[in-house]
Amino acid sequence: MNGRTDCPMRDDESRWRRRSLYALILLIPLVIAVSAYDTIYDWWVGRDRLAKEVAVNASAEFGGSQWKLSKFRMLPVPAGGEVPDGAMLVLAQFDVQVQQADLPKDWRDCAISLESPDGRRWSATDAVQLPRSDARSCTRTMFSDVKPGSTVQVREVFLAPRDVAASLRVAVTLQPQQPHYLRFAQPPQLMQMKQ
Amino acid sequence: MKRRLATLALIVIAAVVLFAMQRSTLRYDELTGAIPVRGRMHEAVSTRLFDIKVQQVQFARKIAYRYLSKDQVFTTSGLWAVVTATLTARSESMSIMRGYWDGPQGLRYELSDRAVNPPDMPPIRLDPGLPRVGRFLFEIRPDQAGGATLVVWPQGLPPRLDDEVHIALDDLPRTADGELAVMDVVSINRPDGARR
Repeated sequence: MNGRTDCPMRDDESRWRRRSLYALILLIPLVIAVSAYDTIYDWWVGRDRLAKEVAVNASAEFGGSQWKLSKFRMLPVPAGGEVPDGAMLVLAQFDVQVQQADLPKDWRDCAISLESPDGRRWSATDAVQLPRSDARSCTRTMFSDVKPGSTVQVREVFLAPRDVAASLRVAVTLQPQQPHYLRFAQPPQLMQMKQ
Repeated sequence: MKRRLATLALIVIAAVVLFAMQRSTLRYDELTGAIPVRGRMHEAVSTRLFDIKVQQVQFARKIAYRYLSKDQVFTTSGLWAVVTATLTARSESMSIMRGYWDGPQGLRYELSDRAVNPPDMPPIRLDPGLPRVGRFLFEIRPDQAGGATLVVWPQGLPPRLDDEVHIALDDLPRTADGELAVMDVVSINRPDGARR
């Protein structure tokens, strides 16, 4: 009944159809961008992307505190216990002067790690017990009610392969500061185990 | 008549094709699920986060280990299976939390938690560049011993669009006449000689 010629699509209708089609070319990428924005933003910001280099013996302001690497040592360890063969014990200790910081907030997800020149990362270990001292791990310091203006000692221990230990550098990550993180240029100093 | 038959044939073909497509379409959770990385025993298998090489599978009726300076022995109505592997982290420190024994008919066994805090068992902490021994302990039905697969995940949750190791356990201990060799006792203390 309805032949193709006697009922042509009205001009403005076909124009609007075409416009809608073209609009999709813009709208679809826009919708994807809007809905994925948060995920992409979190991914882009929530990583250690931009290193703030700290020179040897210098200190740096980070997360409302002044960080200074006071000890960075590597110690050969005899294999045994929980320590894998070929491992070197690496100790990093900081003197941190807490300024105007609310630590549980400003140091959220605090992590100290070792970074190699090829970008590999070592996290702190609890397989090795160190002699007791005033120094505490980053997370324990964060929850220990530190008064602004005081200086605390933060210490972490790592296990790293002997062949790369000397090239490792300490990195400090605080989640509110990401994508920035601190990287200390100081190389580890080789110590001998006390017999 | 011929034309009608052709139309009918076309409809039947279309229905078959559509049915096949419907049946073969993966569900969303399968599409975004784990990516299996398959391997065999004595072969290094690499995933995004870690490398693993399965060295040995042992079967036993009892396992023994020392905990809090007491010797503990666990029996089972089934079979104990102990899988020994070497593991290394790749780009960052991580832990292996989960392992599964997938039997030949698809029965999946979780790690046994009967032994408390045994050495070298999950959680297995791994650091880049430091290979270490890890062991997985399962309590399985005897008929699930042959033709099984070891499945290993890093961290806690099932991987999404990430690697999951599937290692065919194809080099099982056998007796001279080809039966599976089942030992009476396997010690799951730290293997002697592996560490000095």
